[in-house]
Amino acid sequence: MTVKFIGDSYDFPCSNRVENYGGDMNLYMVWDHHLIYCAPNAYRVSGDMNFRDFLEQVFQPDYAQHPDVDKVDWEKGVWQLENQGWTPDFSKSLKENNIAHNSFIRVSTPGLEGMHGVGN
Amino acid sequence: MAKNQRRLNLSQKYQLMTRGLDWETTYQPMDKVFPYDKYEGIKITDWDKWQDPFRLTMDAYWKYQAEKERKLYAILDSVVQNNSQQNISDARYLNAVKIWMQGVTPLEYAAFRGFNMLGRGFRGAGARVACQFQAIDEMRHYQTQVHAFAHYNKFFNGFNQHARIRDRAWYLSIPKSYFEDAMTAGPFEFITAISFSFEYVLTNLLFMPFVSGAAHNGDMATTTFGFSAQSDESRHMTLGLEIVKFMLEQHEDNVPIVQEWLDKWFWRGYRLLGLIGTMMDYMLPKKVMSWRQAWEIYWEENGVALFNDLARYGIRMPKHHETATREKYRITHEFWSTIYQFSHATALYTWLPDEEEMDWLCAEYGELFEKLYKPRYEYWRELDARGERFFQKRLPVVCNVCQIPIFHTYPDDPCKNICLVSEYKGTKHQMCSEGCKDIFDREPEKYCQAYIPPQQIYQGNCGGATLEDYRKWLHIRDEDAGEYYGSEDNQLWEKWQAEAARV
Ligand SMILES: [Fe+2]
Ligand SMILES: [Fe+2]
Ligand SMILES: [Zn+2]
Repeated sequence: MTVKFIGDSYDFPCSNRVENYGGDMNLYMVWDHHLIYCAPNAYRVSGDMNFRDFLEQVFQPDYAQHPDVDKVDWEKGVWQLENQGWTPDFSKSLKENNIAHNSFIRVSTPGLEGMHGVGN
Repeated sequence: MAKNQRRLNLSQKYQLMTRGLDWETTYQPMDKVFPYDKYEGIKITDWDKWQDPFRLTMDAYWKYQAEKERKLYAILDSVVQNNSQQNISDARYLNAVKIWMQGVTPLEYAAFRGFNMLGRGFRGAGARVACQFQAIDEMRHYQTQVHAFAHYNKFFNGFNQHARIRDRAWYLSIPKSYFEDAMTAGPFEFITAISFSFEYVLTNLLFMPFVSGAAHNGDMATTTFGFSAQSDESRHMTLGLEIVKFMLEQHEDNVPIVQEWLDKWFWRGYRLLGLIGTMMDYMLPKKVMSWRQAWEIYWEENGVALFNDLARYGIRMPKHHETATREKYRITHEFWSTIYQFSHATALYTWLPDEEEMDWLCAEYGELFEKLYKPRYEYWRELDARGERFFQKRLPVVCNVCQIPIFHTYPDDPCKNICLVSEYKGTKHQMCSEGCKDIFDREPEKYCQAYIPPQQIYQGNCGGATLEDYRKWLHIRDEDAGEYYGSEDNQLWEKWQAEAARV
């Protein structure tokens, strides 16, 4: 399907295109079953950042008020990129891990499924 | 004036105004005079078949409305004189009024703009006249609400920047984008979106909780403008139903187009009303009914009956209605959890339900509430007691269509966030549901332009990257935001209660 319009063309750029990020990119990530944090988080990051650094220095501190945060071992996580199975290389950069502008990363940690194991 | 001049009766006046004033243009082709009412593909063969059951004329309109205004402002005067702000159930209640003032009152103004465009856009004069009357009604609703709430602004926070935060605040982009989506469509889609889906199908879920909530919670000002607007609303609802039937009866080619619009605007309306449901369940100290119950009465019974009626035109139930019904046990709790943790970036206060409210929520929502949401609130209360009131400091992903932070969960798994992706022009876009994804995929050229607050903040367009900078840009002050208990509203209320106790 496509939009109906008056005139000769209807063509506008995406408002969230990568060109608007001054060399950085926008990224989304969620730790499944930790719903006291209501939604996947949004980040503005450089694609050259190391994946482990991103995880440990940027992502993990965002869950600071969750009792699971000190128990987590990301190496044991089950990972998805754009809702598809995916195995990240922790020593490589975001870009080298195929993480692109507006990518969505999902990680779940079997055994750590929120307080009382119910997803909170 | 000649003595024997015959006076026109109302129906003759209406006939002249809606038919006699209209003509086929000859200097310019009609398609140039009315350039907007064909491109959507809706085929109208005979505009004279347009029926307006109200058949309002100018003099009748002015007479009714002036009478209503006189009554309304007499009561608003007495609200001021009697310090009626002290008679509400509790100052927490005012956050329901703030949501309305910040989120819904600007929609009245948006409706005024939209119906003005329609009042010029349709080539049938009957439809144009009905839209012009509605435009004036909507302007009146906007004004009377601002006047009614102005009194609360003298005492309480969060009322003083409604026009500015409407344009800027992340949570108000939800209602704002709803109307702007409609206004940037053609006139037939606009009227289907606003008059039918919003005012006819969903209005009871919007107006009922707010106005009866106001009455229940001792808010005279709101109750009064609510009743004053109600007779206008019944006219607007009728317009919605008439226009949909008119399109369906005029040409069979219109049926699939109207069906697509009903699918889209049912889902958009449902998503928007989640905010109002949350107000009902959490912000009214004296409850009217739960969102679940309201959904059962106003959608599962009344809404479904309406769609059954439309079946004879070849219309089926709107897509994804099953998902909406399935979500009735969770949507308001997910929404409240979100507002609770982001209220430091709103002009609202939030709080955790007290014990009595928790019991009410358990009774209304059963097993899922007890298993998932109650322990969540209990943990947050624990944090609160330790002086670590729970606020989320990171920006969330937001749905590219409904513009709500994607707190939503899978239809079959309320413990797992959903986040769907569509790629267009090499850019990925995130959506909260199959309903919103369908809307995006149908017109990606349109939704790829959406102004999504967290994206704009990260792109550097909203005053800065920190929360303090952003809040300053919103013109929201520290004291307007965050936790209710301990807030200025809370302190003022306690002071009034103490004074009343002494008397
Ligand atoms: Fe209105
Ligand atoms: Fe209306
Ligand atoms: Zn959505």
